[in-house]
Amino acid sequence: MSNPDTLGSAPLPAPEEALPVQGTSTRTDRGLDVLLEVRAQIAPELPEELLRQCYAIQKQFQFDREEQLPLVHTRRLVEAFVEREAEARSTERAEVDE
Amino acid sequence: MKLLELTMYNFMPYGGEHRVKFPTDPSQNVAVVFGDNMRGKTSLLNAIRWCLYGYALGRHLKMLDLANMVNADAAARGEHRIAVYLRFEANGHEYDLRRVAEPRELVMTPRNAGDFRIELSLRKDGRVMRGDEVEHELNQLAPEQVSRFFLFDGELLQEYEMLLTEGDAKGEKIKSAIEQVLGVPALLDGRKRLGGLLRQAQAVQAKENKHIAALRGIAEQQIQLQERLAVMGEDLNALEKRARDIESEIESLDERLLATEAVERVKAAVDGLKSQQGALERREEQLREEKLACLRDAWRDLLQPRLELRIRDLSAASEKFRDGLERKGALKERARQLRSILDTTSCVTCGQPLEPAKREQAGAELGRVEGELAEVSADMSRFQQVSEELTRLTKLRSTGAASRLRRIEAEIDQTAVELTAVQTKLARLEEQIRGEDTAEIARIRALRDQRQRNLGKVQKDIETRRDGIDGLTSRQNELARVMSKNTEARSQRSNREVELYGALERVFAQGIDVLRNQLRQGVADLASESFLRLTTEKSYRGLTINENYGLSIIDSHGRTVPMRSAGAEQIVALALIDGLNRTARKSGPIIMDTPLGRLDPKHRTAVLTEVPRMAEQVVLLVHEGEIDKVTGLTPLASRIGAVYDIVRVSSSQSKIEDARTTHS
Repeated sequence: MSNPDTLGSAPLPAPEEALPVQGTSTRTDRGLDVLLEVRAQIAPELPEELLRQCYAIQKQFQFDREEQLPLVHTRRLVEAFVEREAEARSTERAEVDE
Repeated sequence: MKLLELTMYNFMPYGGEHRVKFPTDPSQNVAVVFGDNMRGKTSLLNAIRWCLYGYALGRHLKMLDLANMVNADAAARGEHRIAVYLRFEANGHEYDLRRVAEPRELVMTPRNAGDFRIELSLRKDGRVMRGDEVEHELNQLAPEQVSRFFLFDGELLQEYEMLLTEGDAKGEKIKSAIEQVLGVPALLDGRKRLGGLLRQAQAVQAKENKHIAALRGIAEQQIQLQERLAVMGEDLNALEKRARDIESEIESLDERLLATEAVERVKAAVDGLKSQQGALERREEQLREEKLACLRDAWRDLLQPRLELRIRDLSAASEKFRDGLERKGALKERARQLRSILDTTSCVTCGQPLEPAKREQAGAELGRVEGELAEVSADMSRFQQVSEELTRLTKLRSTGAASRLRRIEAEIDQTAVELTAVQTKLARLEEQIRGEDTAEIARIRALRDQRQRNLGKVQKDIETRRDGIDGLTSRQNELARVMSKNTEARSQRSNREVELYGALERVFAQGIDVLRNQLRQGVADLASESFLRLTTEKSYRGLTINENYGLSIIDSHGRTVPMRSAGAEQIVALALIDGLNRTARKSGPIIMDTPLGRLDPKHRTAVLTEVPRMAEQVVLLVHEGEIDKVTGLTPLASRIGAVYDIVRVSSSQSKIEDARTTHS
């Protein structure tokens, strides 16, 4: 069982690095396709890249009994995204001020 | 994933070391292993299962105890170590998985799984993986949750019948397993996780927004809602756990009842026979009473001949007396009439004077009548005597006791024979279930029914809780959106996180139903195509699917075929497996244990023709009753990459021989 204290240090799997799970389709990932379609319909403001990465994490761990790891990875993903957005806005403001 | 080689050591009937190499050429991707019943076909399947997942299954999908998996001859020699190595490749890597079980220290003779120490190791391209990585790696390659779709036997195929019954508990489990194969859990679990993260983010948001004057009230409401949600969430978790515990208990009770089904049938037969016995005994008693009553009257039959003579005589005498009386009466009346004529000189009818000749005539007749009257004897006292005797004797007449007695005795004999037969059968059946506690079985059945009712109540409570949580969550999301719109709040990260989690959760939630419907229809279409190739009934249009992935056959008129045979069931199940594999799994082997047992020769040929395209690699474990070794492989001939025979060495030992040279 993974240690939640050290989980934060584990790197996030990038979508392309996520192993293609033998139990699920690899060539056309219907799960991802469906999520992207639904996003376009009901939440176009949701960043697509965030959705892809979030799905990759869920898929990576879908057969694992481990619960903490995917939770931590998902939280880190969103926190990192928000952090990057905030930094991008600060940089923009700094450039505008200049 | 492609299997390369299986090595077994002291595993079930395979004492010592045995190897099976699997074909890897895509154009010859089928391996056939022949073996008679009880020789080790299922053990081969179990070796792969045990190596991958650490368990093996027996009849009725019961887990086998590790102690019983050690080869009997080896165990008798004191060798209790078993091992299975599985080499395979996947995603461009080569893997070597090894599972070894040995008795723990100080354990001389292991009696159960707890007496063993298990070692599991996985090498990837020669590198030994860390212990904590092994399970995760295997979950990516061959998840246990989907193993029923690539490691299966004929018995598992029967499970799919349950899918047709919506709401059936076992059917729900299989449906859940199918959704695992199709990848729906990624969305289901994702939604759950995102929902939890959203609530956490909202809690943080509410705390931060309390410091903004314009949002204080809303933030307070948010905090209260979160507290209520937390409590309801805990209630829901507790209820769900309780439901799972009850389901598990029901499953366990069902297993016990399954094992006692045969006993119950016998018990029902025993009860029926006891009832029959009771009825026969009562009938016998009744007949004996009738016989006694009959015997009481039987002595009359002895008197019958003489009695009949006497009665006949008396009847004749009585008749004669009666005739005499009538005649006497008539004569008296005539005499009276004649006397009245003679006593008068005129006709009593018309009043005319009577002619002397007529009076003379009347006188003469009177004389004759008086003479006849004197001759007629009517001794009333004698007549009375005769009548009384006749009445007495008639009462003594036979009631046919003899014939009744014969009939009764014949029926008593017949009843005795039937009773003996029933008692013999009863004794035999009672012996069969001696030691079985049928009261206990009745208790288990009643308990199971009660648990099912409890489960229904708990599930209702779960629904209510969920509805409550959904309501509060909607409210919470609404408040969060209001807070996010506030200019001052917008700069806070917690607001942005709430927005993102909220959007992700909504997208995942809606995606679940969309994905399910698409996948289900995809499975139906592919399974239908497969079915039409497998079935020999060419008028069928295909298959239709229900909510549980249960498939029904559609005939040429568009109607659902209501009942189907065991063979048809097998074809539909194979079509479902094919549909699932093609929808979900793009690569991976299928290992089938006696999949053709219920099929006629034409269907077998159809299945064998289809088999090579069902998966990248197919391993068939069959006996000669399913496929003839010489002619039966013809549909597959060009696709066979390996053929093995499981050969009997002794009752507890088998070996695997490469038979390719024999069967090519």
